Amino acid sequence: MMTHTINCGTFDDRLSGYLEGELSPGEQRAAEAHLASCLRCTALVRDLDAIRADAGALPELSPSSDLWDGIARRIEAPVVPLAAPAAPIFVVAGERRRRMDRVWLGAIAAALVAVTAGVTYMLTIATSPRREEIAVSSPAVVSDTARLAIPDSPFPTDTAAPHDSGAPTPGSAAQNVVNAPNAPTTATYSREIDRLRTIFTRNRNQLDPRTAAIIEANLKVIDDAIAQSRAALAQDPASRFLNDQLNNALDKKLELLKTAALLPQRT
Amino acid sequence: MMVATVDNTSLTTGRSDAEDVALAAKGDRVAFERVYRAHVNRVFAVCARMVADRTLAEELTQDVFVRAWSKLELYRGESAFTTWLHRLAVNVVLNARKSDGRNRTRFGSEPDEVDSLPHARSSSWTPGMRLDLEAAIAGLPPGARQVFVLHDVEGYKHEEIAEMLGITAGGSKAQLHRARMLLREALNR
Repeated sequence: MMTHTINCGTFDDRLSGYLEGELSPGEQRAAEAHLASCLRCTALVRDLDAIRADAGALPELSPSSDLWDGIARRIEAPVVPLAAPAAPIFVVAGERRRRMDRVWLGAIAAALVAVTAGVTYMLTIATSPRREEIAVSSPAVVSDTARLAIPDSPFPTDTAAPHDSGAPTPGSAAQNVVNAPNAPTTATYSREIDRLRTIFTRNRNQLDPRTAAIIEANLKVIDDAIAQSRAALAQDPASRFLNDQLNNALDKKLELLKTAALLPQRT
Repeated sequence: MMVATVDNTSLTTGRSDAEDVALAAKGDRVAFERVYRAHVNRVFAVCARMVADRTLAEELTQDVFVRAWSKLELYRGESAFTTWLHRLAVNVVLNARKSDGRNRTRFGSEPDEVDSLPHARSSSWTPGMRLDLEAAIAGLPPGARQVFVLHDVEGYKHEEIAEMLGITAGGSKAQLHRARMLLREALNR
């Protein structure tokens, strides 16, 4: 069978097909015949074959540090309890008592939900000297959640911590003492929200725009709820109920950010 | 895809790995950490070579495993786990590059109309010194680099690469050939 001879230019044009084994039988024979007589093209093919072989044998690479801690934080997204649990309502002594606890707790929870909106509203708008007096004279029972520093919150920490500015007062000094042991918890909580917010911000462009918009809208609603709870706490810092409301709102924000951080990419 | 290049590590095969994957899919984070340790180098390697930036590659590697954790329950075992994870890694890299316009330079969006490798871009190269293959790959234009890594390093077929990158199989072949020629020049073989 006759083989057409080709020059280096034609061989170059067919080189990709030659390496991929995609030439027709006639073109393949012509390429091989050319290679048999051309040192330049023989060297070219040899080099490209070597590159391909070397690339397939490249080793795995290791990160500069262990990445697991960062991954674990993102997949676990631990939620740190904000405040010490309330004193036990009952001393649990047996199964019957535990059932009663659940009944009572359920009833209390239902009652809290029923009055949340109204009480929050009233406490937010109603300012009276008496409440301010309570804020100063009863700081020891103020939860540290009232002074949480939430980096992305529209409300600065000071708004939730009345009487923190200016000359020290007995109340503010006592607050510092009361809250000092809980500072690590507060910092952990703030860091967690900040970290999740950062992840969400970084991944935002990878999400469907509608999904991202819904998340942002929900975060705004929760932030508003947090702000309202803080405003109410500013009026009545001793209220465990309001502290619980704030805790719930912060928990919801954490949960939403955690969910947002784990959302799959848009495909 | 040529799974041989993906599955030929002793760290990622065998019964224990499959068991860990199954446990992780049920929410066992300890098992998932073992899965991570078995596969992290492989995942990091593909990320690092595709983006030519080790710091960014570490971020993307974390993204891959977070994504894997959230999607693990969808893994049905039709393919090898390494293949599934590897494809996930490639998708994370490609989606990050496509969607994050702010990071264009980080992902290497230099024009693909490059006829020769700009040697100075490789931090390990100085005039007169031969580039090693790893550094030469990092110096490739992004399009050619991705095709080269996916085909010659990772073993994907042109049809698979075309689907992943949104190009034609012919375009993938052209980029591959161009990448090899640029590498040959850079390596001065």
